[in-house]
Amino acid sequence: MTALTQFNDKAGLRFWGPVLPLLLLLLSGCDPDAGDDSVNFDRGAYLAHTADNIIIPAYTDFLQKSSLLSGSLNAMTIGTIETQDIEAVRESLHQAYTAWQHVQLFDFGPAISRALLVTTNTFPTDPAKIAEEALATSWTGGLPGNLDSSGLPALEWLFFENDAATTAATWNDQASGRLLHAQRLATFMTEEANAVLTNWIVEYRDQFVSSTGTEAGSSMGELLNAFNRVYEGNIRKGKLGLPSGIMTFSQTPRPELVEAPHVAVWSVGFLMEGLKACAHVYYGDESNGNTDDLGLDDYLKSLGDVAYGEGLHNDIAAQLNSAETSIATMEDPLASFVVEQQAASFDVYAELQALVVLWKVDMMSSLGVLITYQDNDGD
Amino acid sequence: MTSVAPLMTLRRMFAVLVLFSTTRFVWNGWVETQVLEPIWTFPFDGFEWLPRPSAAGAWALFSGMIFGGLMLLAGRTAKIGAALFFVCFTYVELLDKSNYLNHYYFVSLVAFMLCWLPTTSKTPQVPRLAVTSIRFLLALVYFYAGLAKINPDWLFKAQPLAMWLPQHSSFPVLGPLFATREVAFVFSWAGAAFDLFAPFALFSDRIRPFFYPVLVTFHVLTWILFPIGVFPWVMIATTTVFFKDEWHAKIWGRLPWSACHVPVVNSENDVATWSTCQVAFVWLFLGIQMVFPWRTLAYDGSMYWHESGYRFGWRVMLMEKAGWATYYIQNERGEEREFPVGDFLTPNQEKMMATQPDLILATARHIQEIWNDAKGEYVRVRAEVWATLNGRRSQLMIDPFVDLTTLENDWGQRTYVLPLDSVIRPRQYEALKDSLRDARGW
Repeated sequence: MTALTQFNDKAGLRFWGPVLPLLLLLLSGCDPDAGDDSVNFDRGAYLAHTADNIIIPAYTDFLQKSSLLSGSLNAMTIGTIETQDIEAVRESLHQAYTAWQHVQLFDFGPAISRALLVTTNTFPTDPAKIAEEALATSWTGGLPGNLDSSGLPALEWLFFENDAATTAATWNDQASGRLLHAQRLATFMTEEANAVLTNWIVEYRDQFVSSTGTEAGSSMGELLNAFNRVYEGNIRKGKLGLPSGIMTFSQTPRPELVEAPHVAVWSVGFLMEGLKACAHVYYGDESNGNTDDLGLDDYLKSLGDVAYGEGLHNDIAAQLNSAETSIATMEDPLASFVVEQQAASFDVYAELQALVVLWKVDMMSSLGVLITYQDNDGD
Repeated sequence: MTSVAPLMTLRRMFAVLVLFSTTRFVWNGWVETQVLEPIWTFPFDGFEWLPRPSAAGAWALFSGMIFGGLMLLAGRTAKIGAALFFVCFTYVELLDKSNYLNHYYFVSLVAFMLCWLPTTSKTPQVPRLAVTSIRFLLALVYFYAGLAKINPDWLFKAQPLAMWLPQHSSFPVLGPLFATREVAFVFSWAGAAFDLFAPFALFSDRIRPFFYPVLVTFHVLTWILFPIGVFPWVMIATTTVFFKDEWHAKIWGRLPWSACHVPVVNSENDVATWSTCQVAFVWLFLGIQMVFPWRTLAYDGSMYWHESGYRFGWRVMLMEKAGWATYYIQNERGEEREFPVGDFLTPNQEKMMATQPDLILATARHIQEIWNDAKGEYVRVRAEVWATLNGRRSQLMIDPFVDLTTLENDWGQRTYVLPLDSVIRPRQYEALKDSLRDARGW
């Protein structure tokens, strides 16, 4: 631009002449209250609220439940295990598994660097492999080769392969290696959860809150891309679509693909819990947005109707409601439900599918969060 | 006859920018993500035969761009450099429609012109048309970009700016303004007026000195607000070609090396003349540039929705479009299942594919091929595609019960694209699905 001042004698005036009024015009309206019905949404405050009141508490809860589980397992001694001990750890597992449903959405940042999602909940799990690994003297968690024999699904199989009394008997037999392996699996899971939470608290939280843009790699981008990916892939498709048979010709149900198949009666509950976790992130609270807590619904409202057609937040609220209602009509065991009432399963799946459209297409387009770093001239 | 000075500036600035842009492309790792990693690409119509480059091939192409840019900058071998750059750059662009950007097309066109325009000190005097032709192309870019903004979404809904500007509400000082509707309208109308006025202002010796600072402000602002890469800088740099000869002579005269100076006219030998044939070629090129963008008028329906004739028409920053495509395959026994298409596309391809009908069609063919290769089974392919345009709510974009592999990606009317005004929303679709399926005999 300095080259411009070479233009002619009155260069300075000629350059700034048209620019100054323009800038003044822009600045003149710069009264923060000048906005009409559109409220200025504070992304920094939203991110801080999401990190401090949703994400970190979710990780803390999961870590606590997971520690309780690994603690109980580590306190067991071969030869003294009774049926009620097995029942106790089963209950602990249920609590940890439920807490996990609220953590799975945050598959970015520290969770990605430790591959938490795949080490903690890859299902279906491989019982033969678990049984084999139980006999090995040592076991290393987090290897690509043992994702489908670790985490919550592996523990679920170890706890529920047989009834509690038989399980107690097997575990009391040192040669089975079962107790030792359950301890290794739970301890690894707890350590990983601890590492991720620690990373969030000591380092990532501040970074997350301070990156307030909408470019790819910004906190909004990371959070929402993970949210959509996990909802679409792990919750909608993984927990319901695949077991119902969407990926098989002739739509044969695949009951063996449900989450927690051996205990059988947790699957629908986990699906519901997963959807509630999404609603929690979306509303920013657990009462459908009826508090002052900042959520994505508030963000959408702040854009004003002109920005996205009419009432996207109303449609999402209605769809969330109807998805929840439809999940509530399903009954455990889900593995039987998808076989006996496949049409009903497809109806629920369609409800979940409609939410993908609203979140992934309408909401993301309205919020303008980028998914790739590439240049884009808007076409 | 006129001085070569403006063209010298253009050539040097353009060379610096393409060198920067190419380096940035490589530095950002886009060679991997855009050229090497995709399982398949979406070549432009008529260029399906272009072989996909291997890692070595990509290395050669991008080295070609760098060498071409350096030769262009050096001057002596400018035309060969321009040709080398043009071929390598355009090759990469032709490989994948999902990477199409208007400014890439612009860079290709300018590089093409630099293959035959006299731009070096060897020819102090050049035909007037040589300078006018490049000015004409620039004026055309602005004017057509302005014309494209004369549409109801842009003018009366301030879309897509009403969605894009509020993202900057946390900006210091100006931030709160961006969240207001009024500012979106001011920007929309001012942007359209700017583009339409630019050609006249740039050609006019009296208005240009006042207009160029506005132009710089405009482009810098778009660079700050939108992720449009080097485009603003390309326009700021290339529009100096409208400046008077003396300005160019003065700028280069400030450099200590006389080789960089604009040459003085001293003999008849310094004149580059064009034959009638060459002049006709230049006008033919410009004529094509004028006419080609209008081809979209031949199609019914919303151009923004069906995108027939959308590309290569200077339609910049006009749409906020997002989509989601779910593919279904049906075997010969009539059994149907979903196909996990996301596993086969890069994030950018998946995003672009879901809103661009010709890419949706091409993807269906790939799916058929993949299935046939893997399972030796012939399948029909259909897609449920939800898309949103400029703040409208998402609606079904493609006929959900047509075998997309039976359709040709030709330049005919895209009858498989549902009209923009036939709005089918997700919940309505669930209710309609079975009757639609029956009606289509799927």
